[in-house]
Amino acid sequence: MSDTSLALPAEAPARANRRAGLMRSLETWVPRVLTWVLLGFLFVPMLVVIPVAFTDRSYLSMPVDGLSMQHFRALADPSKGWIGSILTSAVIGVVSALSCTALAAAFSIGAWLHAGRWPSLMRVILLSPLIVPPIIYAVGMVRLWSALSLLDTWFGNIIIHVILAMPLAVLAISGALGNLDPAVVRAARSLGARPPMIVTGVILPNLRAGLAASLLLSFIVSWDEITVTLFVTSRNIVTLPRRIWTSINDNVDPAIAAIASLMLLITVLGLLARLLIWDRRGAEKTNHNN
Amino acid sequence: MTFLTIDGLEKSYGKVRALERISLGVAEGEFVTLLGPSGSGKTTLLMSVAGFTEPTAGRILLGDQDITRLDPEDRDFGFVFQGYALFPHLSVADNIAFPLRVRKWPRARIQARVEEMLALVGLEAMARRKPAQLSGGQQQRVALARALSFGPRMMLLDEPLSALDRSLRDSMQQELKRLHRETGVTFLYVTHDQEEAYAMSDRIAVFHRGRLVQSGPPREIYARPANSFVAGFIGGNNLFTARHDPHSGEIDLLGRRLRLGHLDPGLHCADGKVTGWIRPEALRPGPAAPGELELALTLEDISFAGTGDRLFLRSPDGQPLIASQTSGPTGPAFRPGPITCAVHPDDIGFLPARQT
Repeated sequence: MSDTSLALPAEAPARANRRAGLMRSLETWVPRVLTWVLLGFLFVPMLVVIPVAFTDRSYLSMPVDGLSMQHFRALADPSKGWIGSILTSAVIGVVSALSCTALAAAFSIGAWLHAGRWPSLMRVILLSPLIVPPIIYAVGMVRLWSALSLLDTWFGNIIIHVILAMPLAVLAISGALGNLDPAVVRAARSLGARPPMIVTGVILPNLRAGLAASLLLSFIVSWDEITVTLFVTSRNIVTLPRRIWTSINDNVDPAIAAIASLMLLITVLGLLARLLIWDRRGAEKTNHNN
Repeated sequence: MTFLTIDGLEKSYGKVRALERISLGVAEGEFVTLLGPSGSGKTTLLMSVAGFTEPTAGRILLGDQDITRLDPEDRDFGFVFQGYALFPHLSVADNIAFPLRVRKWPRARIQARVEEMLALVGLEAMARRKPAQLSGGQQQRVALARALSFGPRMMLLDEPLSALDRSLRDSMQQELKRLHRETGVTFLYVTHDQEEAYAMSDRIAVFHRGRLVQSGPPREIYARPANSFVAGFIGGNNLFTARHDPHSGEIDLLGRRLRLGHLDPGLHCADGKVTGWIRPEALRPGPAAPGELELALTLEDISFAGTGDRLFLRSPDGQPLIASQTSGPTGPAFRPGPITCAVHPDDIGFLPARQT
């Protein structure tokens, strides 16, 4: 057959082939292993809280003689204060997320409609909490808040959370506005719409994704906030991060592992629900288009 | 009868004067095009009529109502934007219904009108689509239907075809003419494309550097340009300079000394210089027929232009001229070098002496 003349003659090319094969499998495996190591670093510390939450001891540790639900029961006990703190954090989070998003939307839409030097300057000021370290900010806040008698009050805390979440809210909403053609405002006016109608009927419906992102991000900022909170709260307002902090400082209570597990569970459920709903909607859309 | 009256309108941005004392009347049902290059003030004028730009001086009247300071939302003008500016979150039908909902029409009447408008622009099948799911031409039709749906007193269109490709532009021109004819609404149309203006307008107003330099029917603009800008930029003519001797009545024209008594439309300038124009299609290679004028020119280059060829010529006194020729499939039989061309004296125009 004429093929034989094309067959590789000696061993040297075979060795080269083996080496190339080795290189290829290294190229496949090294990135894979690195990826898993990276994911491990991200997730394992989070997962560690789960066994700790079921420990049978009264301090932070892995379960020794068996699993126990005592720390979850402690969470449910109102006298321990966990439920109160969860509610406090939730109320502050929801109220500050709503107010922050409303203010950020008002500012962003205004700055979008009347671009100029003042809106740009305002924007830099609103974004400044991103740049100033929270600890520095906290020190300033204590002085100001004590002068205004806002220390350890609901109102004072909500204002601080609104300010701290403002940069993310403004960025989320401005980003959504950046995708909207400013000519739609003129179009709406030429079609007879007055400002309230333009805002509610044209601008806001096109910002839905940005508003949702702003609500979520500002809620998370508030839910997480500890640095400034430590400075401006004492006995009245004990948010969840503050209680976790206190409990670690005082007695290394495994209840914090229990609360961490619960939060992890809620997050995972939320992501799953989101994935499922998203998938179904995506599928419906494709069907509809067909 | 004048429907829209623009009276001495001015607009300045600091020291820059975007509009200089523009006066223009538009009759009811007329299709008037504001034509000019970018920065000529045509869009500023349209925006002033729409109410988006506040003029520095002057008045805009609709009938006998002064609308100069009226808010755009109270003018009842349909506006079609360059980028369409459809509402991305609303379906085609809801976009068209938007001005009707703003006007609080009853639901049944809105539905009937939306269907009517969809039929007018041929988009019945697209009613439930979002703008992002439409082609450029379809989006433009939605924008037109939306602007027409509420029965506007007038339509204002800002370069609505500039984002479309060429073949679609031609069919949309026909579509716009049809919509104008069928609705009877007055159209004020802005473009920088003279072919578009010629094809659609009852009347063209030519803008240059914030001034209205000429207004009239397309054929008149083409045949009797008021100045060198209109003759050159808008008409696509060859412009040349000639020397006129008022004593002898003779003229030095592209290397020839001629006595052209009938071409003397009050051209007397102090220095004897006059500007003339020849249309590229009137300049013909070949010997002159009786009554024609023969010019000895130099052919420098030939370029193929689809419908024919463009000959790049130069006169003995060094002025460039272009001749366009329809040609067969084999192309023209010309070689660069000396060439004889003919032009009928009626096809040579002279611009009136500059008024100062």
